[in-house]
Parts: sequence; C-alpha cells; structure tokens
Amino acid sequence: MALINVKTKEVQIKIVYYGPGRGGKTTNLEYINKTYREQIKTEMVSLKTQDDRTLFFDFLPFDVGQIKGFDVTIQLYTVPGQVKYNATRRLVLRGVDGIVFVADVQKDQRKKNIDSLNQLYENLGTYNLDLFKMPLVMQYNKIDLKKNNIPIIPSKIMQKDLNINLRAPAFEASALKGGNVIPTLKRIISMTLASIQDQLF
Amino acid sequence: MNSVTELGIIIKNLETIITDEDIKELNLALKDIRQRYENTASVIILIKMVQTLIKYLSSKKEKAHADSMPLLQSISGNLEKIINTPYLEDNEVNKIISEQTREYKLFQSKITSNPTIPTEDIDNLKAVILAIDWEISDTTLESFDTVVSQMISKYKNYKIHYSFLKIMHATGKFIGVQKASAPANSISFLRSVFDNFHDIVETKEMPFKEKRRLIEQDMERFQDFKQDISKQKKTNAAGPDTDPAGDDRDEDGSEVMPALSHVKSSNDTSEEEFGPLIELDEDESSLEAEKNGQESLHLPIPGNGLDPDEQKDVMDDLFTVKDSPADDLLDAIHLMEVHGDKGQNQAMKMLDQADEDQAGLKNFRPERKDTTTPIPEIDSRLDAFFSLDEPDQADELETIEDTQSLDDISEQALEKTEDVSESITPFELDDESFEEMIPENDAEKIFSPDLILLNKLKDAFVKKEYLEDEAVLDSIQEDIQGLRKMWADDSQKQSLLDIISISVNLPSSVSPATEEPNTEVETDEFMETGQDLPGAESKGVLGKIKSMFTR
Repeated sequence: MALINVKTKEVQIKIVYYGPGRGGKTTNLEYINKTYREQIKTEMVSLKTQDDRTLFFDFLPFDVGQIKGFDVTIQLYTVPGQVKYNATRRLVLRGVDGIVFVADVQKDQRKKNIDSLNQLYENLGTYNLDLFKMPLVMQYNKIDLKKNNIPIIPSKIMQKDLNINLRAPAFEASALKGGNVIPTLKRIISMTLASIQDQLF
Repeated sequence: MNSVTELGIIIKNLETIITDEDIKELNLALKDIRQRYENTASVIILIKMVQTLIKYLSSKKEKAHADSMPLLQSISGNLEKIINTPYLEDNEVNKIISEQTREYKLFQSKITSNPTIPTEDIDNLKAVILAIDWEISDTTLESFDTVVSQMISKYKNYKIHYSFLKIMHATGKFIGVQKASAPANSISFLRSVFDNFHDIVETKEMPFKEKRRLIEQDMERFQDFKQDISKQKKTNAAGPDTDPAGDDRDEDGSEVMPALSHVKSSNDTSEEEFGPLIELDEDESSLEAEKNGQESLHLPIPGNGLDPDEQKDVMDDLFTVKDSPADDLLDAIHLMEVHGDKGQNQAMKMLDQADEDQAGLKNFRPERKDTTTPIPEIDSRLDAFFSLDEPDQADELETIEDTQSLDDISEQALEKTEDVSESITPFELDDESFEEMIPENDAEKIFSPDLILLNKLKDAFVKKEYLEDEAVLDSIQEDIQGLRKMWADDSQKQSLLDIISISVNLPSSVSPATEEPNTEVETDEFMETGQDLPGAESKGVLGKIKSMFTR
C-alpha cells in the first residue's frame, strides 16, 4: 500500500515486476537504472546468495520529484522467477502498490506465463489484495527474438492467454534493447498515482 | 568323482577373489553337468544360476558383493543334493528350487540396489543444475560439466545411475552449445531427469523394476527431446514461425486455459476488450538503445561484464544499520529461510514492526480504476523525469527562469491552477483523519501564482544578490508589480508591498492608491526639492536603508 508521510509530505509507491524466471524483470530494472542514472541518483540493489548464484530480488528506489507539493518516491522491485522461490515472492509482494507483469513471448514459455500469473493472483490473495483491482500493466517481453528466427507467441495470443480477464494496458517490449521499458514504467507509476490521487492530491 | 562333486569341491575351495583358472575349471564342470542333465529342469535352473553368479564374480572381482560366494556355495550344495540323492520326491525338489530362487532374487536385488552416493555429491549436482536454470553462462556450464563427469566416472558400474548421469550430461552439453537459444524446455527436462535420479538415490527401498521403469522412461523422453530439437531446427531453417500450434493449444497439443480463467471467465474475446496494446517498433527500439549509448545488458551476477561497484550485495550488509526497505525485506527472507514455514509468520511480523516504527505514515491501498484519468501533473512530472534531452524539465516550473516575463509566469501559473481545479476533487473520499493533518487547499496553494512570486522574492532577499546585481533588482521590481496587479483589491497586501518596496528603495513601484500619507509626503518632498531618490544616491541597499533612517 502507498505510504504517505503527512508530516514531510512524502509519498512512497512500491512497484513490483513479477513474472516467470528469465522473463526479463531484472533487465527492465537494469535498463532503467543505466539509462536514467543521473536522474535516479541511487544505487540499484541486487540481492543474491553468498555463492553469487540465486537472486532474491532487485531493488531500485528513486525520487521523481514533487507532484502537487508531495515528494514522490518510487521503489521498484523484482521477484525471483524460479518456481521454488514462491515464499520469497510473497514477501516481496507485501505492500505492493502496482504490478508490472513481465511475460516471456517465447513459444515454450506459454504455460509458464499463465502459471506465473495464476500464482500472482494467489499470492496477492494472502494479503487480501485482488489482482483485478490492482494497478497492473502487462509487458510482453523479448518481442525482438522473432528477428533471430526464434518462435514467439503473437501478441494477440498473449493477450488472450493473460489479459482476457484482467484487461490491463499491455506493452510489447524488448527489455534488453530498452524498447517500451520506460513507457511501461511510466504507465504503471501513472496508474498507481492516479488510483490514489483523489485521496491524496 | 562325478562332475557335480568336482564342482562342489572347486566352489568350496574358491578364494575371495575368483581367478581365470577357477572360471575355466568351473565352466568345464558345468558343461559336463549340463550335457548329462539337459532334460532335468531343476538342474538346468540351478546351473543357470551358478553360471550367472560366476559371470558376476569374474566381472566384479574384489568389488563383488559379500553374499555372492555363500550363495554360490548354497546353489552348488543344492545341485549336488538333487543329483546325488536317489529317490528324491518331486515336491522336495520343487521346494529346494523355489527356496533357492527366492534367495537368488534377493541377492539380485541387493546387487542392483543403490550405490551409496554421498549427500554432498547429490547436493553438488543439484546446485550446478539450479545454477544453469538461473543463468546459462560459461562458468555455470563448466561447473556442471565438472560435477557430472566426476559422478559418471565414480558410478559407472551402476548401470541405472550411470544412464541417468549420461542423459543429464548430454542435455547439459546441448544447452552449453545452444546457450541462450536453447529451448526453454531443455532446462525443465534436465531438472526432471535429475528429480528421477534423486528419487532412485534417496528411496532405498525402491524396487529394481521401478528404477528400471524410471530410467527407461527418461531414455524415451531423451529420444523425444532430441527429435523435437531436430524438428525445431528444420522449422527454423524454413523461416520464422510465429504461429503457435493453435490459439487454444500448446505446442504439445494440450489445451491452454487463459490465466485466471478459474477465477473469472470472459466470453468476450474481441481485441478491443483486452485492454490497450502498445506495440513495439523494433527499429525504434534498436535506435533508442544506440542513441542512449547502451550496451547489451546482463544479469547482475558476477562475471557478466557489469561493473561490480554498481551493484550492492546487501547480504554483506545483513547486520548493518538498516537504511532501506530492501534491508528489512532481506532480513525477513533470511529469517524465513532459517525457520522454514514458521519463519514466514515471523518475517511478516518483523516487516509489520518495521512499518510501525516509521512515525507519521499513513497507508493508502491503490485500487485500479480504469475510468480515472491521471491528473496532468502526474504525467507531466513523469515526462520531465524520464526525458533524456532535458533531465528535469519540471523543475523549470518550480524555479521560474528570471528571463521569463511576469505575465508569462502568471499565465503559466494560472493555467496550472485551472488544470488542477478541473481535474481534482481533494479528499473526495472524506478521510477525516487525513484532512485534519493536511490543509484542504494546500496543494492548490502551492501552485498559486502569487505564492510562486512571493517565494521568488523570498529567495531573492535571502540570497541578497540584488545588492550587487541591478538585473536582480529589476526582477524584484517586476515581481512586486505582478503582485500589485494580483492583489489590487486587497489594501492590506498593497501596504505590505509598499513596505517591501521601501525597504529596497523602489518608490516608483509604490501604488498611489494605497500609499500611506507619510510616505506620500516624503516622495513629494523629493520631487519638490528636485533631489534624487535615496536609491539614486547610493546603489547599495544597505546604504539606502541607512539613509532612510538617518534622514
């Protein structure tokens, strides 16, 4: 949930990048961090085990400046994509305000995308949050792979698989090249802030 | 001495390790017995058992199972008993054979049972497979090859284990060659083979048949996997394929149910109803990356080419002072991993506590409202923040350029105010506690044009640049004039502006309508005497103020 410090006039929004393993969640954050390093001014925190193998989550906080007198801080998180880390995913989702679901358009990943989204619904349920009511943006990542002759799922099918019930804004993307990474981010921040603007601004 | 007795003597005299000479003698004796009793089923059964055991002993030598020699002696004894005992009843013969067969099978299951594989080996294997699952890199592939090769050489005598390891090794090598282009199911296949291997190692009581079934099944899957890859190669060679097997079917032909269809089912499949889809122009994305001077990005783990200083490993700081929410979250994850399921509750409590510790916080639960349009300030702020050409355009609104004319500033500020009033209904949801803490019109006030000008004046006085810079002094004059226009109906504010004007000795800006009589006289006196205003005599403001009080 959005944290608002009424004394210091600060708003803090938590956005979580969720999706199946190796879908491009971390790459999204890396692109943002690298491209807007001057504006962001903070470090990207990458959490991994001592043997440098498994990522727990990534964390990228930044301040977008003032909106109507409130300092707005955005915290971007990724969850670990591997199936076995669901408990960690649940913890990362705690207090989430907006979600970017990063789906992998590779043909082989079709079921993993669906399973991951179903699990997201279940995980949010543990916090009494309803995915249908959460600010949510879908991102269909790795769209550029079709150039390399790798079979991909057309966006129409991705929409049908993942968005037929949710009907959230969706972006085709290439996180590695930065394609639609920022529009995705802007959209989720905008949606999330808009969802509390009546109560806040 | 007949061949049976001779066989018995050879077996009784066998050492722990069977020699080639022993095998030769045994085979000769067995050949003779077989020829003599080729029509006696019971004898042939026992002879086959002896032959198999001899084969086993000769291949294993010193590594042969400890029970193998006693079993061989037992079979030999029974063989001697059946052949040399006259008038032995059929049921007695059958009893001997069935008991011997049971013993033989028991031994067979013993020698085909699990080799003792240390937990460390299994853990290492699991770790290298998980590493590949996370990232396919030269380092992870090298570790995988080392671990699996070592295990293959260690367990080469256990056919089932060996076969599992060979399948894993071949799959790993394939992934190594294909790297990122490896089909996604190659990793899941590798993991499933490992899972079966793990099962046969860990389940000591697993029957041999079940083990055989598992390895046969995996060998079949391995063949299918190879065929799939070759088919895929052919398809790729024919051109890009972007059409899946069918909208509602996965590659394997199984039906695909859309996500969350178990929760909510939509029959409307028209594209318009999915929600807006923003497509990606591939050329544009490539250009953007080039324009920004981006290099290929990699996962933030060692060896991927990123500057290690750019990444912070919070594990190192686990017990340091907590200064970010990530630290609390990491502690919670750590707690959860240490304590298992119970730890999850503890972790939640810990995070709750961390939130409570932050005084003055109020929580809002964002709710998606498709009909809500973000207020213009949100998008303009984000556009400004994420603009690469001008790093922070929005700051220009808040720190207005000196070069802008007063009218421009006022118009700009007024436009802002209008936008705000059109789109915002502050505290529409009546959160009383929040209302108490924030004045209702606070947000509007921040963007009101007079407040902007006042803040600008305040800054100018604080910085004292007007003492040395005429341009700043002119700017102050313009600001005061602007405020006069805005506050034309407020005599008290006009008076205050007069005081400010006097303090910087700017009599021309004093409004005649609100001038105090004394001030008017002073000004008139100057006019009558033809003297210059104090400001004209001394340009320094301190001098001006001094002269004001000394006159």
